[in-house]
Amino acid sequence: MDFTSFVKPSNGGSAGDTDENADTSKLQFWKHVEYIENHGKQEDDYEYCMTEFLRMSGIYWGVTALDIMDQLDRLDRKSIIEFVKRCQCPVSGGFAPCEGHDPHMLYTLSAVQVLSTYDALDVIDCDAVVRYVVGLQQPDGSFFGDKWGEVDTRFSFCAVATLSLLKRMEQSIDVDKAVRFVMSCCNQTDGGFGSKPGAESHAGLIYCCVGFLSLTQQLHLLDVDKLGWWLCERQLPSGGLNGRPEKLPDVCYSWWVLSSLTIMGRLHWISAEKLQQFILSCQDTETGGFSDRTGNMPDIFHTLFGIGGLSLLGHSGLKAINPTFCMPQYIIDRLGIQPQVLTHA
Amino acid sequence: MSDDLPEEFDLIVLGTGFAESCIAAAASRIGKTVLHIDSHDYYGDVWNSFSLEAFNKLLDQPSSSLRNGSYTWHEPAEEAPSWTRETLLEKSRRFSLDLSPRVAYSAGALVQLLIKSNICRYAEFRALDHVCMLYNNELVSVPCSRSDVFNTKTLTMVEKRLLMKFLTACNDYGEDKCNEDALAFRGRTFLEYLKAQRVTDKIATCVMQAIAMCDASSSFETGMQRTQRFLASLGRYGNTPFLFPMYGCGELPQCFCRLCAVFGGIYCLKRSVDDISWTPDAKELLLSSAGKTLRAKHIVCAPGQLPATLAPHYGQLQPHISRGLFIAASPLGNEELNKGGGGVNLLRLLADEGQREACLIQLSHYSGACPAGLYILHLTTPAFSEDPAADLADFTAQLFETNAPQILYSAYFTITAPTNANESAATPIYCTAAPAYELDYDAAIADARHIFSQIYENDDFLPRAPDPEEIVVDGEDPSALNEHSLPEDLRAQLHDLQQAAQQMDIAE
Amino acid sequence: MHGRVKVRTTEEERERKKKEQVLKMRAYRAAMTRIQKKRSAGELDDELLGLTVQILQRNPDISTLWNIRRECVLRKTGELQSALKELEATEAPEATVAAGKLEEVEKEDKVEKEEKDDTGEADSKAVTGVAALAQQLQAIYTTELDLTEHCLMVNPKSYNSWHHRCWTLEQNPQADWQRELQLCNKYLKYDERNFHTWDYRRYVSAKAAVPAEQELDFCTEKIKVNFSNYSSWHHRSLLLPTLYPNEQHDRPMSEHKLQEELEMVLTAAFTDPNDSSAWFYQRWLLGSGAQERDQPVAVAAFRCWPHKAQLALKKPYPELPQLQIQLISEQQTWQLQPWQPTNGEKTQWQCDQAIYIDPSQDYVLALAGQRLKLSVQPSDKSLYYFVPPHAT
Repeated sequence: MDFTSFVKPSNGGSAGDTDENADTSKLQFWKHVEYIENHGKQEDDYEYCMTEFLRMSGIYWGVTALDIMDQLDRLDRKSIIEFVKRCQCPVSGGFAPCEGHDPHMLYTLSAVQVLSTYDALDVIDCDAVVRYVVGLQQPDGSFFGDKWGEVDTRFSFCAVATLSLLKRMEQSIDVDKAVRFVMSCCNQTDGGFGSKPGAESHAGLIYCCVGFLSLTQQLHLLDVDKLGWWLCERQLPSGGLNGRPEKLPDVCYSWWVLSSLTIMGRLHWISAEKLQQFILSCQDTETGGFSDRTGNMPDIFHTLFGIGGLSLLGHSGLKAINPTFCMPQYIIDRLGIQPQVLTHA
Repeated sequence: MSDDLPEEFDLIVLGTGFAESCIAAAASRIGKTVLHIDSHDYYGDVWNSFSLEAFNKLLDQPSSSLRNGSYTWHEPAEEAPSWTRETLLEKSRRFSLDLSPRVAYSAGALVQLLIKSNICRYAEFRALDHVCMLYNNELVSVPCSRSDVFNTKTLTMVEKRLLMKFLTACNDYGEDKCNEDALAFRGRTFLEYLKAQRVTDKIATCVMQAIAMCDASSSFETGMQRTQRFLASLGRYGNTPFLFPMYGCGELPQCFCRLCAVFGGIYCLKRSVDDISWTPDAKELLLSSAGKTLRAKHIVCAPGQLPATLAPHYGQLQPHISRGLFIAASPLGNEELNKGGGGVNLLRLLADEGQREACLIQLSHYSGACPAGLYILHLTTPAFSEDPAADLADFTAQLFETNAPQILYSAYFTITAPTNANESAATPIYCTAAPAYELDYDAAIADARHIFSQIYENDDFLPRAPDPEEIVVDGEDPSALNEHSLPEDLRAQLHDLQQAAQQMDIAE
Repeated sequence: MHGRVKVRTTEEERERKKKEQVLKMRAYRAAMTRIQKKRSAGELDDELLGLTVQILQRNPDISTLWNIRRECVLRKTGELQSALKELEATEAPEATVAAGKLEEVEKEDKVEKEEKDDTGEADSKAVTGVAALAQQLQAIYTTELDLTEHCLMVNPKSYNSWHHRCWTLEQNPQADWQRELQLCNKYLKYDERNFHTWDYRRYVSAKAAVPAEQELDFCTEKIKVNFSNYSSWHHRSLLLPTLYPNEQHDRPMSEHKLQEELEMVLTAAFTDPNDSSAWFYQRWLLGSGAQERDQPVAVAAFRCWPHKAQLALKKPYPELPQLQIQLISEQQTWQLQPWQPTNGEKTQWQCDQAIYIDPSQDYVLALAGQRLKLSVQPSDKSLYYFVPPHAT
């Protein structure tokens, strides 16, 4: 891959480094690599400590973003795999965000995603993971997030994504019922989805539901034109996308809308050029990393969605990302999984 | 009486009206020693609010700044027989009757000053409920905000679009994206521009009467500027662009006085100054007051508080503002305008084909200025005679002949102003202006700012006053942080946790 | 992590902040260690509850701590409930009375404890015992509700706090749903778009059996305050079809109500055409009702030549080959099969079959309970059916 168009590594001492108004029209490639690489290094970092309750997802965000930038070798594969292994709950089979915390569907998917990326699924008890996920399905087809009973379409997505990566979807859960539940969360007003039946459409949950239908090969159930219209209306004059009408744009919503439109074959309904400008404007040219909006504090979560969004838009120098899994496409190919995608209309 | 009073001050301010209080606070704020006195036994001078009894007393005893006072008790209305002269006077102290009532633009000079100086923590406001206009002799609410336009039944759907489009164009005017047509109206009247937009008569009335507050001769630029001022104040607090100080406008000068006192200003009420003397070269002025001599580097004085010996320098006291004040048992306008007992409504009235105007502020008990079930109507117009009732006759006719509320009490008076206030070079005393005819406090603040800058050329006018917790003790080293300098909540958290975890075997 | 503005700090501030953070971190770690130790020792007591409060108040997103609270609550309520049962059992003859009293005592507490019981001394003792336990039980739930309320003030979008609140209410057979409704009103005043609050409102109003009319009025008020409130329009769209059903099922609601809604949404669009909320709502109003939605196979076009038939659907229907699709004339009926998809989305299908077409006859295509009248294409004598887009 040719990185000559990108800013040189910071220790190379290029002129751009001292420039306070560093260029946000270009991807600050090495700054971001450095940002992610350093993210977990200072254990005494306050931000890092206070976010331990979602550490597993944090690792997934970092690992995925680095792999998309073809810099995965900057992280220590062995210690990450060891960490993931330690987080599997010996009783339930689910994964906790870190040691000392309880297992949850959200971190179970993150763990499986990380291990898939490292091609190391064999180090954990996959049967136990399947048992965990299956055990959380409810009679109406919905999924609990954990044993405490919160129901949300996010967990439907987590369930089928986890099982798809483990290639265990078919014989485990009741897919028909799961589909019926997700479709009961579809709103007639705009064709979008909320977190539960009757809930307002929201780009994040639309991504979960469209992703869910993509994994269960049921995209034909969508009213693609209606939903596509609502989604492309999320683009604002700044080029960024918001998650709901009359809200501010955000890099992570940009990903959710963008990936949904990609799965539905309607990526061309928004201005890719303006979105790219917006995402790039959310880079922190000083420390690296992306923030939710221009000028805000960067974090690892928005960094993945910034990089992921640019990859979907075809930014050069980035590996292709799979819109359904939000993982590098080559890994999905390696696993031989084919989430459904609609062709251009 | 206050014989332990120091005898030397940087600044002595006579009168505790709005502008004087601003100046006193501003001087005190920058470390000047300030003595603030008033010949009355109350704060605020002609800017104060009074109980009903005190107000009547004031009207009975003309003073240099207030004259031509009169008041009348009316027969209680059939619908409200319980409100008699006696019952009203029983509740005298529940009234805050303003001499100089006004409203403030939410983004206007007053609010900006209160926020900037951090004086806002002393004040409390009510957002105005309605801005009204008279249309075909009927009192209607002018839709101010986006949601007002959406909800109003007085405009058709097309009128709503026209109004919104017009206001948006005004709002954008002056920015890069301002449309070309607007430029063609520079130098012409605002009314011409409005007519060219082909708005309906009703919308034109809304804009001219209530939003731009213009008359036929107002220039395009003036109209635009005023409309923008109106729009800029929208959406900050409540549904209209205006605020009214809770418990009456008399609260405001006192807010500034409090700030002045916090920074060491000394207050003396009921103290008048008999004479002020100075010599051309001396750096001091001498005040004789209650048999004592006080020395000040500078003196600021309200027109009505000038010692008799100096008053002639400032010319004759002329009628300046004509005021009417009515207490009614029912509000003006329909139920829609007075939902749930009403709030504070504003109406600008025109007479003589727009040559003259008056301002009406209606207060319900939600303003804190009168008992529940009653309404205060403040009517204000620039004076042109010694008869305030006659000056206001055209406006009271418009208001009361068709929409008559049940009036229980009416009063009229004149506020005066010296003919050449602020212009007397014969004395080194800075004389503030009498209350101007204006909606907000712009002129009063400009006056205070101007006088302050003449005295203290290089100092900031009312910079932000720190909150008590922000005041830093000299010599504190911020890097030497210990638990005692932590924010309150964090310290509590640490304390809780350390107590709970006392037996923990964790190495610190 | 959303919406945090990056501010340049001076070296001093940075230093101060850092020290503050170190202290905070130390406190957090100490408490977490202690919590985990107590939990694994099975000490699900008030001290443990107290420790979780310290952290949750500042960071309600740590789901494990909520789980621990639930474990503690279950332990405590379980103990109280079995104590209650025991008490009732010892008063065997009066057991049913006592149980019945329980609710009455609850009510009495609110109505200023007027008439004390009239069942005699001995019984009243049992009742007070029961009442005291019941009160303790309620106190446990109240503590949880108060904590979630506090946490929601810190972060009104905390999934965990909202869920814990639901969980607590579900545990309590005497939950006060009206109070919850008031809470929704309060939070929606602070943030009229918080979808958590709207979701919670739907959950609560179902529990409290709030009439749909009342909910609709609430929506209308919210829209009057600010019509750029997509959440409110959405909530409205859920209420109207049940409140004002459309007899023909061809519109989302009755004609009369539809007129009113259109008037309202047009007013919004005329007031501010840039507000998108109204446009989505208007499109829904003008869209079709239940009929088309319920029809899984919607034919967009059909064409039939002597040697093949082609079918285009409005929406993909992968199970098409399993349907019976018939071409019917006055004299003959053809079973059209087998069907092959001609595009990936499975909206276009083809059936290669020999068919004799007599242009002088009338033909009908029958599928999935629909009968579509076909026309003849004069140029090549083929049969066709075609719905112009947006014909309805």
